[in-house]
Amino acid sequence: MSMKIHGYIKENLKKRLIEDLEKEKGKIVVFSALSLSDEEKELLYAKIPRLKGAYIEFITDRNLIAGVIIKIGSKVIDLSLKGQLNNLAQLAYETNR
Amino acid sequence: MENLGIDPKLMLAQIVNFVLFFIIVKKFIAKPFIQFIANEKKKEKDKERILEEVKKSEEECLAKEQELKLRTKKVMTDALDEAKKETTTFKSEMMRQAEKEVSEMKVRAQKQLTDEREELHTQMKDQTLNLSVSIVTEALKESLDEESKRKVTKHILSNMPSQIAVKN
Repeated sequence: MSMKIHGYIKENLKKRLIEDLEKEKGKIVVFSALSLSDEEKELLYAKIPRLKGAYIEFITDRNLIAGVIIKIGSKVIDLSLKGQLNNLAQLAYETNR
Repeated sequence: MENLGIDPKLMLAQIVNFVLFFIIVKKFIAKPFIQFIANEKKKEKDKERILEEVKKSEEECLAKEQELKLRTKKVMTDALDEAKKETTTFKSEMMRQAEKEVSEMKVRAQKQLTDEREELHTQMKDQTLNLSVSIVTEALKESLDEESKRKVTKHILSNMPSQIAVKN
C-alpha cells in the first residue's frame, strides 16, 4: 500500500532540501582529535588557501586519535590517524580478496 | 410213379408252387433285403470314412496344438531373453548413471568444501585484521599523550600535499 504525498508537500520538501544543500555547500568543518593550535591552523591555511578568511567550524573528536578531517560542503579530506588505519585495513581487506 | 407213391399232379402243383414261391420271394423279399444290407454296408463305410476323417482331423489338431505350443514357448523364451537383455542393459545404464552422479556429487562436495574452507580462511583473516586494527587503535588511543598527538597532527599537516584534491 503506497502513501500518496500531496504536490504542495513535495514542493516544500524539495525547496527545503535545496536550501539545506545550499547552506551545506559553503560550510566548512574541521574535525580534530585535540583543539587545533594557531600554528596548526596556519599550517592548514598554508596548505589549503581557500580556508583562510572563511568561516570554519572546529569540532573536537577524540576518536580520530590524531590528525584532522576537513569537510568542505559535501567533500571530505580525511587526514586523521584513525582514517589512515581504516585505509590500511581496507587495503589489507582488498588484498585478501 | 404211382407205385413209388409219387403223384405227378401233386408234384407238378408243388413245382409250380415252388416256382411261384421263388419268384415272389425273389421279387418282394430278397431284393429289398439285399438292398437293405447294401445300404447298411454303405452306411458302415461312410461311418468308417467319417471316423477316419475325424481321426485325421484330430491328429492334425494335435499336431497344430503341438506346433502352437512350441511356437508359444519360443516366443516366450525370446521375450524372456529380450527382457533379460533389456534388464541387463537398463541395470548397467543405471549403474553408470549412478556412478556418474556420485562422481559429480563428490566433485561438488569437494568444491564446496574448498570454497567453504577458503571462505572460512578469508573470514578468519578479516577478523584478524579487524581485531588488529582495533587493538592498534585502542593502543594508540591509550599510549599517545597529548604532546605526541599534537606532534603527529603537526607531522600530518606539514607533509600534507599542497593544493590537495578534495574528495567526495
